[in-house]
Amino acid sequence: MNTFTNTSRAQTHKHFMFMAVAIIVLAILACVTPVSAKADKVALIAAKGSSIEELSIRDVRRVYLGLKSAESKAVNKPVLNTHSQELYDDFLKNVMHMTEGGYKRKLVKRIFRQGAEEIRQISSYEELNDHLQKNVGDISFIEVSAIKNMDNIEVIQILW
Amino acid sequence: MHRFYAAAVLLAALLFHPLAAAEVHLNGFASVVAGKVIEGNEFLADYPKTGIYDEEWSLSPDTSLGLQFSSYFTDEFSLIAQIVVHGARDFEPEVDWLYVNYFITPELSVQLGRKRLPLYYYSDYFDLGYAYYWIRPPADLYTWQITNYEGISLLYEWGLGQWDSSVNVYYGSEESEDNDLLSELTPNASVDETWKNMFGIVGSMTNELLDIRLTYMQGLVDRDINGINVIQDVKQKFFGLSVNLTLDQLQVLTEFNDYKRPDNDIDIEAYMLSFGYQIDDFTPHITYSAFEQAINAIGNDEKHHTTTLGVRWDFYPNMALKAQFDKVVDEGVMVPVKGDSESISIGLDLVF
Repeated sequence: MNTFTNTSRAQTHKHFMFMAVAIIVLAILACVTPVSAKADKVALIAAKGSSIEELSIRDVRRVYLGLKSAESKAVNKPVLNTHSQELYDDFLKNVMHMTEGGYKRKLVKRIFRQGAEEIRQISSYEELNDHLQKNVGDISFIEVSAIKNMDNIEVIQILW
Repeated sequence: MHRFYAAAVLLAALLFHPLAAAEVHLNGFASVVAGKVIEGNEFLADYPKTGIYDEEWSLSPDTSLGLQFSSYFTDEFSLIAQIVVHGARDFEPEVDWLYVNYFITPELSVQLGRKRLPLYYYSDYFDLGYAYYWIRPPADLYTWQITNYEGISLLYEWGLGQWDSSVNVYYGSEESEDNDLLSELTPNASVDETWKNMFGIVGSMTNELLDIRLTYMQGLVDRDINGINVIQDVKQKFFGLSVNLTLDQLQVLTEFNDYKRPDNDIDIEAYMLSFGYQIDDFTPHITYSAFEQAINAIGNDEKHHTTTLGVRWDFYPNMALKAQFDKVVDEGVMVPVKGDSESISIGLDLVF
């Protein structure tokens, strides 16, 4: 009986240790995974030969609000990359400093107040690549790791 | 109507002009709203267009459709036209905007033509229901009889740290024959109103949290009632301040306006405070607005306030459903507008 109890305690202890280690590992993974996902940098891109040089974040924001770039005449129109909702949300947070709803309403106001053009949204890399090639001077943003899926694209700068 | 035909001819010419053919954009908006008074007789929901609800369900007072054409001749030079129809005006087409825009620099542009008169915070997109959470901006504030002007304006937009800033300076005039609002409020009379030599300036600063807007306008007023001139070259001044706060899901909207016509002893103050809170696709809101003009030398007064409760539901991209309850208390002694009322309205707003 005593032996059984000791064995049972030992097993319980072993299970507890296993659970503790598993929880710690899961916790580490939980912490590490998002960090590694979020560590993927995001770049401002354009077709090769666009002659666009680095812009201030203020000017990128300005262009995505439907205004003309104050820093480069080579910048044509902005394109929203909506391939991933997370990327789009991060762009709104890091560059536009507003929520999706707030951004949308601001654009709608500008369109109907000043005749600004609607900002194009593209959700596939292939279409985005194709659009940028056909519209040299247009800009968009993409995860650095996804640039390998694009042809004849140049990185203007890392946004975040 | 003559403005509509002028705009139509101009637009057709532009659309078929080889220079413009490649760069013409069309955008539109629509609001379909049904409402009725559930307590009282009438509710003046839209002052400038005299959109009035009564005890029967009606689509007319707040229903609107707008089409905007933007024609880009070059990167710097464009023409903007916006044609609207309103249920409150029997769906007669009107030209709200018709102007040419020229970018002198990327930050500075000049506009020449017909534009909305930017007195109030929501003046520029008063009819664009999708842009705000109410069915309509608070009626107590937007009691203007002249909503447009023809003239020239300069717009300077620039960044200042984390702030988006703009300054708009304008000069122009507007004539309104048989003005909707003034004729409605003056029984058995046709009132012609002219606002001329209007000079105004609007400054705004916006960042992630705050949106601050200051506006000032001065000019002269002429008025004829049944063809008889009753006001000539009377000075008027308008001052407005809006401070809006966005804190995550919470929106706090404020607006204060002061209108003066000293020669007629008119001094009007109008203000509103509104709270909205976004919960996923829903934005419930509550608003208090008021209009106050004390009894003046000729015995006129006007005083009313409104409490509004409502909800906006963004149920689909570019579309929103809204429901709203408005309770008006009309305290005007000499000039009651439409009396006390309680009303409900439901609406669909969309942009395309």
